[in-house]
Amino acid sequence: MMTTTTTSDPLEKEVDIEQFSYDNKIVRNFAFATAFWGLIGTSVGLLAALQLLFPSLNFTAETTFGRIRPLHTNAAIFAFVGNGIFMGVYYSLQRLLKARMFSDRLSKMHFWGWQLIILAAALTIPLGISTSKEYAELEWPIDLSIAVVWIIFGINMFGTILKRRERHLYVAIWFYIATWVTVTVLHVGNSLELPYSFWHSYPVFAGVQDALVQWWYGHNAVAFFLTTPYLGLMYYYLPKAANRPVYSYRLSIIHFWALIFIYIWAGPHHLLYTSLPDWAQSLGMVFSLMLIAPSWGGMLNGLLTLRGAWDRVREDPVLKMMVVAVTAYGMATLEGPLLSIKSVNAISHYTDWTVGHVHIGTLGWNGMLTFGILYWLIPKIFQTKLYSRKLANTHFWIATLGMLFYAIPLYWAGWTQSSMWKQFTPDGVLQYSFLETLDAIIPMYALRAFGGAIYVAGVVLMIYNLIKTVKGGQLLENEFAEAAPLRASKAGHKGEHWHRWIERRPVQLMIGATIAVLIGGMVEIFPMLMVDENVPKIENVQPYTALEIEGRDIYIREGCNACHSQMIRPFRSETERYGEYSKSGEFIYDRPHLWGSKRTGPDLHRIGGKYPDSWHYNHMYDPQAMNETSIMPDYDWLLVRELNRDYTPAKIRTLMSLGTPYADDYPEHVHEDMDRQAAEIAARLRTDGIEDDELESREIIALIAYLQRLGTDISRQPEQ
Amino acid sequence: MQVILFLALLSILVAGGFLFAFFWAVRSGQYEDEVTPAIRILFDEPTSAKQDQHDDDDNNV
Amino acid sequence: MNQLACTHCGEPCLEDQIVETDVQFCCSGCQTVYHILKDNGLSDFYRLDNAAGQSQRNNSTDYSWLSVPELQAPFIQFQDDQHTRVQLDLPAIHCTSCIWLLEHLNRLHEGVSSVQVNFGLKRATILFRQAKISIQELSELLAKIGYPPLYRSDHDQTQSLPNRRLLYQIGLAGFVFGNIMLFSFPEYLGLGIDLAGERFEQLFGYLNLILIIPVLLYSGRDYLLAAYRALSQGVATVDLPISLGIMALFGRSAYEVLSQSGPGYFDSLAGLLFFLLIGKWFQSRTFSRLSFDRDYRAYFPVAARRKESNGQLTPVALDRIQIGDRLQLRPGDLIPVDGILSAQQQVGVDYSFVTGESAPQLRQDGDLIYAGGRATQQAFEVVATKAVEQSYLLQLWRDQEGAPSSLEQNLTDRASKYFTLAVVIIGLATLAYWWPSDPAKAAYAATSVLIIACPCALALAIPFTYGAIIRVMGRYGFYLRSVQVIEKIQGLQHFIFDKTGTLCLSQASTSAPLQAKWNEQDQAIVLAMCLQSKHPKSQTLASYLVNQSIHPAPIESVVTESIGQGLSFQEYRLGQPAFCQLQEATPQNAKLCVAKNGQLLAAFGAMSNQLRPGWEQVLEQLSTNGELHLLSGDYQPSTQDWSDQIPLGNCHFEQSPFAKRAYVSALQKGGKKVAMLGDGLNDAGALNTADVGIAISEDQSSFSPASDAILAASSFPQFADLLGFIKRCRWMLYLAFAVAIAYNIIGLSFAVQGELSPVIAAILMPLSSISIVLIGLGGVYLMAWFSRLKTDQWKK
Repeated sequence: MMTTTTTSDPLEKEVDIEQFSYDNKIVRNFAFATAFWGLIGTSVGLLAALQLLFPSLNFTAETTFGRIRPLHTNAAIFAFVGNGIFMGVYYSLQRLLKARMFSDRLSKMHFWGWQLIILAAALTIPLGISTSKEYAELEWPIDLSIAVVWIIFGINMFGTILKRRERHLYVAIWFYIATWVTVTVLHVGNSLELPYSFWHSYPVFAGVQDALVQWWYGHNAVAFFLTTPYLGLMYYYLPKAANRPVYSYRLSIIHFWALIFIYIWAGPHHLLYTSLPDWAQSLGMVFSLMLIAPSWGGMLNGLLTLRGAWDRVREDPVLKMMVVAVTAYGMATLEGPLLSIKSVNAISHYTDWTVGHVHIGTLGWNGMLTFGILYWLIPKIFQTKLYSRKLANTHFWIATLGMLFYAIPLYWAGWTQSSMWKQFTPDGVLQYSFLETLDAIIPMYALRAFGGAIYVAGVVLMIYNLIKTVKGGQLLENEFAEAAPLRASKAGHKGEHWHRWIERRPVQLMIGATIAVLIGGMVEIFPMLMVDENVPKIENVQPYTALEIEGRDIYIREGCNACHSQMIRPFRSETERYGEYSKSGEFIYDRPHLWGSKRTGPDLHRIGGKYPDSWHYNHMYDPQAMNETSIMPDYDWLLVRELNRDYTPAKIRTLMSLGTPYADDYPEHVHEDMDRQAAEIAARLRTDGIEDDELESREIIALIAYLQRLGTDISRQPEQ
Repeated sequence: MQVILFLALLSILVAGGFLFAFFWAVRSGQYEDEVTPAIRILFDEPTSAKQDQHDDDDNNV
Repeated sequence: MNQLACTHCGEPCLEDQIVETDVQFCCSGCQTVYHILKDNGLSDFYRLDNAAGQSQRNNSTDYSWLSVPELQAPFIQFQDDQHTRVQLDLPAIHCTSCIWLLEHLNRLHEGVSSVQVNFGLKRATILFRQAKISIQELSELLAKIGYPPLYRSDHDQTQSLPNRRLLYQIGLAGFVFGNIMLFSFPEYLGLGIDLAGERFEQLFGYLNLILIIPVLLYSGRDYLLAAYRALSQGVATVDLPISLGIMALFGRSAYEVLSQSGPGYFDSLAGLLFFLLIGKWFQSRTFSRLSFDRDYRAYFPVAARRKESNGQLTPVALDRIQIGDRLQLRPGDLIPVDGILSAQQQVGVDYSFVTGESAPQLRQDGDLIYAGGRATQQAFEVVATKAVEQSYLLQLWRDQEGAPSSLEQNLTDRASKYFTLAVVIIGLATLAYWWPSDPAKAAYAATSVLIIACPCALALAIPFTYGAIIRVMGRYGFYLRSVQVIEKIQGLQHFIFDKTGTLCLSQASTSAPLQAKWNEQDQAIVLAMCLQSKHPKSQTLASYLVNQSIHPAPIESVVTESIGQGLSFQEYRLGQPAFCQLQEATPQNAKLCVAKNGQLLAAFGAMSNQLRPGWEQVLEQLSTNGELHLLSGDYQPSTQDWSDQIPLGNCHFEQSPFAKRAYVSALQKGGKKVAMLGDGLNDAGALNTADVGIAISEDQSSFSPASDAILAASSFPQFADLLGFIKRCRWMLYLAFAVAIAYNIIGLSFAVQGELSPVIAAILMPLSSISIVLIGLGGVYLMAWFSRLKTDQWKK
């Protein structure tokens, strides 16, 4: 299909040169969106950082940290970086292919569609409508619309590629293509979920499997949404800004293919020391380490492009930002694989080290490159000069400092906390309570917040600078261009069809067959996935009761997993602190898994039965009352809100259809069962002197039911 | 842990797709010139001469 | 005097400059181009790169022959009723602006549809409408803007296309290697632990099996076929043990998977092939811009001008020239065939191309003249007496074609005979040892031996070490044709130098005059005279005067040249002392005089061809580790400065191309390894015959005779160092070999005990391959770094 080259037939016309124009309007739209969401994303991030210092900043249910954090990550990744990608792609793609975008209508649909999705996300996440899966919190209706918009983007991009006037596909385009293809696969793979209501669903996979899929996605979201497209942008905008060709074009090609064939398999390193099978963990580690080579090849290629131009780098804020961006890329891609080494990960995991690591990537690599592109691109399409280079330079310094002030304290915090967690007294008991380890790093949190604050300030500066620039200039909506169309490709296969080409080549045919076989294999295996008959079972492990399921969904709604893990790793320091380490068999009914990736608060997998119900009741009402240095927000509304039971039967049925073994008549009797369990809990609470006539119907009851159940199954004697 | 098979095969399929892309690229002579394309992207459109001027300023001022 | 730079080409504008408001040009040609570009809105050309143009001085190429269809045919890539596509060599391409200008050619002529430049090859693929512009007009247009296309009669479309199949094979192997690693590691990482593990084992095994088959049959086929051929010819090449290993790996792995007795060695197999192919790719990359095997056709124009009976001239392809054809030759044209000269008066024919002797020889009507000469001043005609192929000079090549090309075996191939033998013996021994006790284990151990002994590392040593050498040498202006050359260089004992253009500069030079009493006016006129003559002495004098920053005086009437005598113009005369009709006595050893009305203006001594800078050290160093010879087409010069290094007995003069070749083969008969350094057509025979023929070339686009290596003239001074470097690199290779052997021994020690688990293989094999690559690449580059050779390349 790639061999069809041009839409118009030159033979008809007198001269072969086609005149056309580039669509700068769409570029501008995405550029503005990028700047805007950049501000929002970073500001929300700042709020989250401050909430860790001042719990009182968790104003309402909608703005508790548990909901603000996913809002921040989504805004940063999909709104800021996402729009940044589209801005960069829409500008460079047209010029690299010497063709206007395939369809202006599709471009518009893509733009507005994407903004709507972001809006929907910005509304649903604070409302607690979330799947709890990191970077994939959006619920299924939004997932679907993402798919639609993404496909629109795909059609638009490939359409342009097909009607291109430049035969050679510049390496950047390869990175764009890779991005589109893999993100499609990932998004679909990780969004396999069964809805039980318009806004809610349960994932197809449970427990360990769900976790693996999630991090296969999670890692590749980083790889193919935050990295490959930006590499493409780097390979276009860095040479353009420096006005010199990339150091080694061959290297960039090798860089691409090497990355493509390794990246997709590094995912499991996010689950080291979890209940994921050992070998799968190590596999993730090995492939992550392999990644260093291509990544650094890319970084060096980028930096060497500027050799001999460093005098200009000193002058030019655009180049400066790009240099920092590429360097940050190098740092992050070195650190990532290191963190995936088991022994390092044992220290870094669940701490702020990881947070620092990802922010080197986002603030440095994505942020700085985006800013650089904006400063370079806006003046170009508005046919003017940047309003103030001085401001841009200031922004550069502020942003760089902000990044350092952000990352370094967090590395420190991570290291400190982790070593305190592992600290035993000479007579073999843990030296520090969890709270002590938290108090110890509060100062770093303050520094981090400062770093974040000035980074945001930088963004504000940029927006001001850009607005002034835009005011000073005038958008060149359609940029005139002319080029000769492609004619029958020269590569010796004049007008030949690709399948004919394959038939004439047994080997390619064989490869095709191989892949066909694999597809067949998938089709066979897929149904097996639905029935988890051979996930290790543990006799005692039983499905959650209806009330516990409701409690669990509240846990998800409030985003508790943002701060609390449910995965005790097999280290003495953890078993001492939390109890027996987690087994994969314990999670078979967990839809979705709630292992978490960060311990701002202690692990909760063995919380069940640790405290009396009343403790939880009071703790939710006012955590500081229990231990005053706690930074957990109040969840007092749980004590007054009435639990919505309307969907419970639907939930149970959905879970049953996914393979959770409830008694067939259970959906009919859920409410009685819930009343029974609620009554027990309410009774216990009342005996501890909690007064509330409506107690049985409160949300808090369900949550307590869930928490008290957590991790108790394996220790419980088989029931009568 | 059947899910691993699912992911593995999915990955192979993607990789296989890219393999074909690679074949196409080689076959259509994409990689026969490893110098000029990198230079070519630097050229701007005729009408953009004015902008280039600005661009130069940006870089030299 | 202040010199303005030409706005177009940046060359200094001499007194004939053309000045417009704020732009100036060195010549009208540049002016024309400048205005063409400006009028067509292409002045960005100058913005991208100041004064990016090509000088338009002395630019007169004749493309009229392109009007003949059958002459242009070979250059046309593809043609339909509307469009024609040609691929033209444009040696003048030198900067980014060139790409930009050429790819916007359609602005200069609407007949041009599209242009695609390949900067590396200095080549442009041009699509145009034959209805609007002919290939001849196109060529002239290109020439006009400073990119005269270069048409070679040895031109072929396929040259320097990269080996696509190799890339396919690498891509496939790489893809499969990656995925097989994916499915094999779990095994090594303790797949068994997982409760569902055992199912994976089988399934991954089958997946691997499916994946490996295309690799084996496609990526691996070249090795298998080569091994088969080697066997059927009864020669042992390295492909033999490799294929042995491949087959063992595959057979064993397939068996293990199908019998579910183990995971197999698929990752080792895929990795092996992947690394081997990478090595192949690495060593196959050479200098696309250079052509190492030009034959005589490269020297001759594509067509000659034939004078028909009706007196009109029609272009004719060289191979179409028939005996009796009457060919017209203009000054500067190369004589394409042996023939009878027909001319009114004496003409000078410059045979320097053939003999190296630069002074033109006099011929007159009826003389037999040989192909390869050049017409100097007057146009004349030649009646062909032979076909081009038959001409005397071209016997050089005709004889070559008979010579059998020896099957080139490199070190590895020679080593591998014993290697293979050893492997087979060890294998059998192992088999024999275990058989009585445990037949199963015997088979296991024996196959293990074949697997581990597969000389992957051995086979990688040469490609990477030598590949690196070729690249490094390229950086220093010494371009080797292939890795085989490197091995040949190792054993060289004799170095033969051509004189003119090799040991000496081709352009003669003169020192200050013995006597001089002329003013700038005189000098300007003399310069003007010299510029009109093609005689080497006049050109030498001219270059001398230009160096004195003299500018030619505008002279209207024609300078008359008497062959072998000198030039005369009005009252000026320059040439032989006798010719100048001096009233006074001729100063001692004056070889060239300038006179005005018999008054001596200046007298010059012998105009010698200067020795190349650095000749002394080069000969010095070479003579220490080899014997030197000198073969020259010239007459014996009075003084031989090189006598200290080159024994006079080894210096031979007035050597015909044939004599030179004979000399080389004579030495070889004596079992000597001979290197020949030459530059001209006259050395081509010797260069071909010598074990290592090295052509010295002033710049990349200019012709160099067929050779094993091309040495940039600018790098001549460090020629000896470069050779020394190559010889030293031998040690890197030995080191690599040593490591490879070591790995084999370790592996074998496992294998013979039947202890070679897939894990060990999977670790050992990539490890050995990678370390070999590192030693080869790193070692050579490090040595280059330490030996601090001066980087020196052709000026672009």
